[in-house]
Amino acid sequence: MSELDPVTEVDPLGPEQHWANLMLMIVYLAAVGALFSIAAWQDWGWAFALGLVLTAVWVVGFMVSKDRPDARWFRW
Amino acid sequence: MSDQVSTGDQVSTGGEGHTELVRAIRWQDAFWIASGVPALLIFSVGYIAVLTGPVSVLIWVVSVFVGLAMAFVYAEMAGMFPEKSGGPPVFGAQAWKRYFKPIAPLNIWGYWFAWTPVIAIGGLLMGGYIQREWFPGQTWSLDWAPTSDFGLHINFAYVVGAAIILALLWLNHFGIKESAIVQLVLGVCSLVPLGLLIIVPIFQGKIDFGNFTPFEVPGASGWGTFELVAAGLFVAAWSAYAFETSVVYTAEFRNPQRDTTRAIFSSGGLCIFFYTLGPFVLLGVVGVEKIQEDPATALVPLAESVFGTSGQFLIGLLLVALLLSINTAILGSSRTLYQASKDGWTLRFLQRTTRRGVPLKAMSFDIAFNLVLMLLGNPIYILAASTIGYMIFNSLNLMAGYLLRKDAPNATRPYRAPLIMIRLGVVLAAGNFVLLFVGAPSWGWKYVGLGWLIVVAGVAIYYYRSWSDRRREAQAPLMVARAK
Repeated sequence: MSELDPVTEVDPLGPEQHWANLMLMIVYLAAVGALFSIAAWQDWGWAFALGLVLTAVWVVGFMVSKDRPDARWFRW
Repeated sequence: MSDQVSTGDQVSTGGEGHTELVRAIRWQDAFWIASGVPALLIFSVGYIAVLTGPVSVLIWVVSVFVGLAMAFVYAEMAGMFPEKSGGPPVFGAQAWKRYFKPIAPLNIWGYWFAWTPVIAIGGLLMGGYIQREWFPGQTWSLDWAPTSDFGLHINFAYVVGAAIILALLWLNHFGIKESAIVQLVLGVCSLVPLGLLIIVPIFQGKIDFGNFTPFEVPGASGWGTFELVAAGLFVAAWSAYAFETSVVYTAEFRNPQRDTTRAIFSSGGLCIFFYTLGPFVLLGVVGVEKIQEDPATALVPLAESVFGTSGQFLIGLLLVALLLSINTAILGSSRTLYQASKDGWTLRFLQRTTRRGVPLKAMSFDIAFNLVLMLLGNPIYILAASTIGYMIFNSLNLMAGYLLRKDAPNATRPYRAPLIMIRLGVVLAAGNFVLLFVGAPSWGWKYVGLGWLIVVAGVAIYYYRSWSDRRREAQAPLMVARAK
């Protein structure tokens, strides 16, 4: 490509399609975030520990999934 | 300059006027544009040393290596979208829009709000240094303070900082190639002395290992230590991860498939040198007690120890380094706004470019926002608020990298990161998520709230843009009929 080429966009992922709905996962993460915030506010050690466990559960839930996109998130 | 104008002449105009960038730079240019990142160390190294003591050295090492691990994911994503400018959040948005759309603008706006305050913070610091060194009598201030700890201030430092920022805006309107040359000159002028500042004391034998003992966070124990280390990692990330900005210019690379990976890994190498050795030498030579006296200018006692008490030279060094960082931020964050606008995530007018392919509207919006932000003063708290955006972005974007590999495995990837790095990216996303909520509060709840407010505003702007686009589409046939 040369300096004279204007940039033209092509979406390498193809036409926009809904692959899966991860809203539930975002709600889960928001709840864990709220738990961490309360732990920091009140200095609750148990809440920090619980938050870390729930975060680890998310990592496992996110990564251990089937190949089908709609099978992701707590449905593995 | 003439070639730039002719380049601009090739740009299609379309219905929105000029809206295209031009492929004018190589990876070396992006490396120099991103060379302002090592100088971001200056912004917070003193504060983190005060907060976490000797442990701060380890915090910086961990932070920059986490940044390097994340770069594998971002390099793969950048290669997938060679036509897109704006950096990793723009690539991540391409994935998120297929899962849960509001996350895409949250990701982009978080990134933009992470980068753009570098302009305000750098401007205020530069104005402050210039006032203290050359205009100590200029102590006037116009203040409006509704509460004891919140107010708007216009003073000499603000005016000088604003003038510098506006001058940089003018410099950058010539084109990306010219901006890269400016960055090269500033980079050499600031990074060489900054590098010497780090290397020379090691050979002079000035490192006092007693400054690292006891190796613990001062005054903390149990979960308190966890919180303070998280607070240190939280703010360190804002600087140490930031070399990802080198892939913001993907759409302006002459050979994006080759240049993106070279740009991000070369910038990462530079940052590993500065971020691992810099804090170590600072603490080893100066010690926490001395840094505590004024964490904002923590490098000054180090420089005095290395170069003697040549105050003018030190201030000159700091000013050039700050100028470099500000310009890195102006160039990067304006591209993010430009591409976000083009992709329909934010206000439409921000996608306009000049005949030279410069996103001047986005750049001007950036500057205007920062002139307002500068009124708040207090750089470290602006930094903490903006890190909220950065950690939201890093968490979401690493997830996007994993999702793209999983759901678009056959998409063209000029660079394919090792699978273990993609998986590690998810673990790091979780780590950044924890830092976002555990580390931020130590810098003040008020600034946590401000950070979230500004980032979430990006989602509201996205819904406004969607509504505006729908209305425009609905009105289009009516306008054509009227024209007939």
